[in-house]
Amino acid sequence: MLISGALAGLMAINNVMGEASRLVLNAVEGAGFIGIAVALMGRSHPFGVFLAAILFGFLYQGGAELALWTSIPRELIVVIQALVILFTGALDNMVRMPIERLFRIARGRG
Amino acid sequence: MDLATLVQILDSSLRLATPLLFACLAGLFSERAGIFDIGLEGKMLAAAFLSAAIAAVTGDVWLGLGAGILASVALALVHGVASITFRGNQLISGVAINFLAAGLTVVIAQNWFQQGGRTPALSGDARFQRIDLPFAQAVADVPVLGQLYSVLLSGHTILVYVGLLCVPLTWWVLNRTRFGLRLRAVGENPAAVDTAGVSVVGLRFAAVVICGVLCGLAGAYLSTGLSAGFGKDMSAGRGFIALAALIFAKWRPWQALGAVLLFGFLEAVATRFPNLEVAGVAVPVQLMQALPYILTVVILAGFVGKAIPPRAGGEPYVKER
Repeated sequence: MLISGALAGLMAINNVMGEASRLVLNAVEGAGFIGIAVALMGRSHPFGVFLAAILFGFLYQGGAELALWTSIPRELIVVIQALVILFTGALDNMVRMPIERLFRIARGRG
Repeated sequence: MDLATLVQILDSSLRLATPLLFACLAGLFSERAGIFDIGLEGKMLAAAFLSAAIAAVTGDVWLGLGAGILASVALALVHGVASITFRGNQLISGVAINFLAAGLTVVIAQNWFQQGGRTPALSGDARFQRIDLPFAQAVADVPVLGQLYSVLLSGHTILVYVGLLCVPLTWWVLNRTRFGLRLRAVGENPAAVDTAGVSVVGLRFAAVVICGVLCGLAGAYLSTGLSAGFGKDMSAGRGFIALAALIFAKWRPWQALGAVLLFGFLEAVATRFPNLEVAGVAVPVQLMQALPYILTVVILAGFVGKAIPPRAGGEPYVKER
């Protein structure tokens, strides 16, 4: 718990003292929530969490650019993130179960 | 503080507690059946948006209510398919639903109404009107009791009364019907229910759908009863407060009513006294706004005691072969 608190603190310090150099209202912008999703998506493995975090970083920055240069609302990124979480995190068995069955059939024949 | 102020605060805490109550009972049905649901927030948000949008377009609040319930049930079914059929992680699914609703509502609202992710303000028949109970005007002058009746009990929208009726109904369904017994059993020991020849999957889907309907009522009340129209992220963490209330109530309906009334009261006090002075020192607005959440942490950490969730909660049931 203490380590977790310390890491969360590091994240906020990065935003406040690194990016904005001052305390702005709602400085962390919901990163905590996305963090839960990232941790779950990385299957609680440090390297997996790293990969998931990179993916969400891409999506976030891409969304900001989209909102800047086109008329696509920024919230569309949230939808994409949601679908990524849903299909990789919660619905992974939807793909895994048929494939396992295929392999079992293939092994039965071989 | 005089009596009139107190009654007004109680009145608004009843109004603010209603969406929490619906959401809390929704979570109760789902979690008693062994499906953890942190997607209450998302379902409320989706229902709030669609009911406000349909009510704004058609001008009929009942159509809006129906649409809101449909939206919420659709998300509940997604949660059900992910966590029951495909045995996915229920927490991940809930988080995904929250994100999905938070994003989709704003994107669709922006595309539909072009008002920066809001729906147009509702008025007239597009909102739930307040209902005056019989004799409310007549007894309003009676001290104490008359005031309590005419201000506190009378003059709410119909969904408030529906919410209050849902509490004994939930208690009766859970504790006095065969369906309720099976529902509780499936949350404690699904293998036993399966051995008895009752479908675990069917029961859990039923619970998830009931959860969706109740969340739909909560969301529709938020956008068409409590306020007039949908705004971005308008559920404002109420789904999570409802989960906290559910733990506080230890997954029981009457205690859930008490817990949500307490949280509603805290919220009502915070909105009623934005700049309170205690012993000559002005309390900042932000502190008053944060107060319900601070007290949530204090209550959950300090006063709940040992809260034991349903034993099979969060675990997908795999039939033995």
